[in-house]
Amino acid sequence: MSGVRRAPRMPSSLPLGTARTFALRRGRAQWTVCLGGVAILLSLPLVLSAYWLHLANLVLIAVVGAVALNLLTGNARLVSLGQAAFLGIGAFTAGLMSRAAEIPFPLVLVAAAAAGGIVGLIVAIPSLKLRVLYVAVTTLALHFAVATILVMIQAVVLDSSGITLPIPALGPLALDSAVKWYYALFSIAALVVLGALNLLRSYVGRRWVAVGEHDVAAAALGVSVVRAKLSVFVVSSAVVALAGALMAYYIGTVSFESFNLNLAIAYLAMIIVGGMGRVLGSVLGAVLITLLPYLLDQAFAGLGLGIRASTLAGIQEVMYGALIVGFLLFEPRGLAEIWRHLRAAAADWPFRYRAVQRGQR
Amino acid sequence: MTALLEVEGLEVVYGHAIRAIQGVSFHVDEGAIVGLVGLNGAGKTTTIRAISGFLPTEHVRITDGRLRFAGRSILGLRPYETARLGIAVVPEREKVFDTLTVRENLDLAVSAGRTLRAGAELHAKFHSVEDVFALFPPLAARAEQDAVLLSGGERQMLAIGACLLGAPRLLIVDEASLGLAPLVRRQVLHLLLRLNQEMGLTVLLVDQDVAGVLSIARHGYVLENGRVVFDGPSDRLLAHGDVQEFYLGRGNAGERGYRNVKQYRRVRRWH
Amino acid sequence: MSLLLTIVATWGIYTLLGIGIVLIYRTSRVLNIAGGELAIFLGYVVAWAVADGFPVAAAVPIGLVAAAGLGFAVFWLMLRRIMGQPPHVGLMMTVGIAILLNGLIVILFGGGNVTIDAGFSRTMALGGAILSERDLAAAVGAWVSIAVLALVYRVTDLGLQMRAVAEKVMLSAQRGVNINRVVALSWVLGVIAAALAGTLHGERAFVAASAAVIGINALLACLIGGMDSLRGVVIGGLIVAVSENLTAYYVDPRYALLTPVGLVLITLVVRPWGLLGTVEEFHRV
Repeated sequence: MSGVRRAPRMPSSLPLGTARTFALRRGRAQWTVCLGGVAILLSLPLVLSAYWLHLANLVLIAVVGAVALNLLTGNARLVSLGQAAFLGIGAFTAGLMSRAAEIPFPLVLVAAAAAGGIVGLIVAIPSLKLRVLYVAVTTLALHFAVATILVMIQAVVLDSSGITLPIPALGPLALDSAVKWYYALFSIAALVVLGALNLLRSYVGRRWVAVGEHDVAAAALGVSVVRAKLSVFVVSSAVVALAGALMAYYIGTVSFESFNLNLAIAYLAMIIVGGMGRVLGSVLGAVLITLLPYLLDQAFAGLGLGIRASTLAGIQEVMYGALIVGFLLFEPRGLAEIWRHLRAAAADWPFRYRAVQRGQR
Repeated sequence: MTALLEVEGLEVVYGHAIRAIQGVSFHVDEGAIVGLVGLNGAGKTTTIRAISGFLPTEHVRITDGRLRFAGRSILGLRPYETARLGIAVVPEREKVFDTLTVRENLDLAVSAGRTLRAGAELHAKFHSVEDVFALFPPLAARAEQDAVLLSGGERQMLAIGACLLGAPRLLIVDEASLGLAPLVRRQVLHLLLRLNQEMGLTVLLVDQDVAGVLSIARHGYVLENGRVVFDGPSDRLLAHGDVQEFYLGRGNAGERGYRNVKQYRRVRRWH
Repeated sequence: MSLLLTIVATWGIYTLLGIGIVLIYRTSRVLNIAGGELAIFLGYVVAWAVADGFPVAAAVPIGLVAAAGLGFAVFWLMLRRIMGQPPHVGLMMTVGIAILLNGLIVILFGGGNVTIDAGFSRTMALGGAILSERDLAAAVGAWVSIAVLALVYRVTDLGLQMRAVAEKVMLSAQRGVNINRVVALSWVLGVIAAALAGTLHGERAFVAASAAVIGINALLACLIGGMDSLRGVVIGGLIVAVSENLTAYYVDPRYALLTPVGLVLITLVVRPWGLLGTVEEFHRV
């Protein structure tokens, strides 16, 4: 897929030109595929039924959350079980704010993200001195703390009924249909994905990866481990809270029950299955895990087997667990890695291996 | 006299760049005491790790060479497997379990050692904790104390005693006399000599104390920067000018320094 | 009074489950997040056996055998492969196992509340106060189990080998300890402890999909006491049991978890290696 004009490169392990290594897309063919893909995605609302469009919207929201979690757990390797907590923080912030006053939608989103970022900062501070295991249990403790506080808020402030949110509006455009939501969510998700890709290529992101792989070595190289951990926590939590706020507006109601540990584990499954540390992995994982329960539902309906909702939930959990364990054992780099293999095989076909003279990709 | 341990052309690499030991070859005959001596950083501990199966680790790999024990290759075996074959190692540092008492340390050696017992003759003499206490009376006095409270010499005794309970065929001692007072040092070396003479235990001593080791070893190898630069019978080594100057402290080695002396660039073999 | 007995009973259960977690952690350095789910799953096995007509005295051993098998299976199938890898992998593996078991609980057992009826009544009179006989039975069961496990750890050969492996793995291997066997057996013991904890919880209250939260309580106890200290778990269990029960009784049962969680967060900031944990171990991970 390289440009045809390029001269044959010398086999070398050093990137001979940084532009090529860090370019977002290389070569004309890749640009075409990319733009074509975006065009297809943008035209989906025209072909999908309402049911599938709704699923697509859920997937887009999940993508936002998964990309953020992957930065924290995949790149910086700080396993976090607090995903549900931050989603809840974002959702409740959005709900409470919209209930309190007529605040414009974009402002609420920013406020929700800020709330997430602040809590993320608070959680990050004790985590600075802790190693991976203790960071994980800190986030677990955070989950239960936040979950209980949400219960308290809902019981005391809202007399236990949950919050209903108004239909949001972006300027003059009211998001009152699935199609409008799709384009809005698509833009936000695209911004998040591009932002993440950009961050990972920047010095900020590379420091996150360095701290994730070996924080002692990173510190020896002069990386401020403190700043890296703080920044990744803040950025990740803020974006997750944003996803929570989006979810709240999209579903229309917010209640503490939806923010349980299973939700956090589902997001972990997304990045494990999709591929930890890869933005593409977050996207693939978000798609698969979000669609899984619905696909299961369809499968059972199609087979004509009546099944209780609770058992279906159980099967879903078993599948999440099996996927997590299976991928960790057999393909720890996730679907993104499988995708890379397929792409390489397709590019080389009918050959099995790549000749050295073609230079590096 | 058959060779119990044979090392040929061993090469160990740290990271992907540093050759810790290179082309190291030596052998230990059954029933002999052999010394592998050298200064800090010469590669002695790395050699022991390679023999006892602690490599490869995350950063350190054996890249070349052959290791044979009692005729069979032990390259690639893990520590548990080399222990079962009869190789016991007294490490330089972490040699006893601090959180266990002296008696518990030895009980562990007995219970875990049930799967070992490669050296039958030794097993006949040493198979209970009381045998070790008879050999090392100071340990008996501290039997119920946590091992962390032991002095350096007592720790060494405990480590050696625990190894003996596994009835090994080869005992490798890394820095037998590190941190010990000269009198205690002599006692430890004398003990190892006794074990060798009375029980036929084969001993490989890896140490900085050249004079001490060569006083009880039959054969010696000098390791420098990862290579064997001298080897020969102990008396010949002790008489060699360079050994005397750089390892025994006689002569004016301080003024001349290593690198000015051309002899060290050539490998010498004495037989 | 009745509250005191409840505290003693829950203290015992949390400590028992926590001991299982610490045993596993000390030898394999894996934090078993799935402790609660294992406990409840095996509690359901016992409950099912009892419902099927087995007397309690036979149902419990059935549960323990299932526990041994499950513990060995988790070790063999899953953890063996990842023992050398960085710690976040093992952690996520146990998270996967936890949710897998949660789903199995729902599919196989329905997930609803099931009480294990061991023939103890809900109330009994003792010296003028009304106590729960079930709580008493659970407390006795828990503390007897803890004593037995402590005995195994301190006195037997296996316990000695486990303690050696927990301290220095390489030296243990050199002395002839079969590391795989010791780690496998510590998983078996840990899951057996979980089974006992789940059964006792089912006896005094009920097993349910939501009851897996006792695993969180046990984890909190381990964190307060020190991840590598068995005595610490006992103290941590006491603190968690007291704080949780008092909050539930005097404030509101829904907020009961907040107090122990708050204490743990304070511990993590002030003394992260726990009350009786060792600093070296803390930095090792």
